[in-house]
Amino acid sequence: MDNCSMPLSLPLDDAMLARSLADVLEAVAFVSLMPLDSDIHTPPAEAEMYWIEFSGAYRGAVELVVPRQFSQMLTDNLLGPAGENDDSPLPDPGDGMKELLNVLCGKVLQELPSDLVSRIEMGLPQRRIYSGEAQWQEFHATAETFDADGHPITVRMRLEPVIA
Amino acid sequence: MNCNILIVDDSATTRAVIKRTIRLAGLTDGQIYEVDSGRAGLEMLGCVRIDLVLADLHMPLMNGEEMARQALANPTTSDIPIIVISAEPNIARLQQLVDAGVKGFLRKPFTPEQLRDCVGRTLEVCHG
Repeated sequence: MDNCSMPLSLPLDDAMLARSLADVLEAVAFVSLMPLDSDIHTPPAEAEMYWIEFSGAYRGAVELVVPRQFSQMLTDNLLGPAGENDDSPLPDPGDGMKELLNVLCGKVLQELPSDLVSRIEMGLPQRRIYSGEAQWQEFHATAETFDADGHPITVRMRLEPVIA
Repeated sequence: MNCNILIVDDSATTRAVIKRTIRLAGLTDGQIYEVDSGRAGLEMLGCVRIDLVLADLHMPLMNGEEMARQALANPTTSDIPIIVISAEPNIARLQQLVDAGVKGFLRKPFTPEQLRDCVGRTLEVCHG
């Protein structure tokens, strides 16, 4: 991924990103987002990175790093208790996180002026296992970390205008 | 009501949530089919009687917009109501789909009540 980012001069800032994340977590999975008591300086155990890119008038991505345990909890919350007539196989835990990211990205981009949002195309959410101290330091330095029902969740948005 | 519903979404989690909400609300006693792409959705429309399609937009292989446009352009499937359920941020794009014949849209995140009302209303109008 391109790690280039720039300060946001649009109505998209860190506070708005955090607010959107809190709203989406509460709405889809009944998970509360709180400030973290103390900062974390190493990646969470079994960390996974999820990201979704967008392109058009602006290009960038929304990125999340969470422990695998959180992915499992989120999917469990999304699905609720299994019903008697539920014959669907259980989705992979990462599937719920990808859907969370898809919804988060859509909500964040709604904050853009309509003439801009009409020229932006969302991509598909992706996932990879997260590893590497150096990679974490770079990500962590430009991201915000919160407590999501006892799990650290780190979020960042990259955004840059596309010069025609 | 004995309507067959097709859910088209690349997220298995979302398909499961939609399916469960429809079942719990008692909106249909018919079959609920699910596929993960627009292409698979069109194939399903060609071989099974479907009374309502609930389609995401952002999917691999074929997105929901292309699937909806092809279904609406095909005389054998053009009467099947389609509801778009998507995180799409561009409201104008969603409105264009309605102008093209899609019955309505529901933005993610949705509540079970919103989904129930949207699906129930469409089934009532189209098959009541």
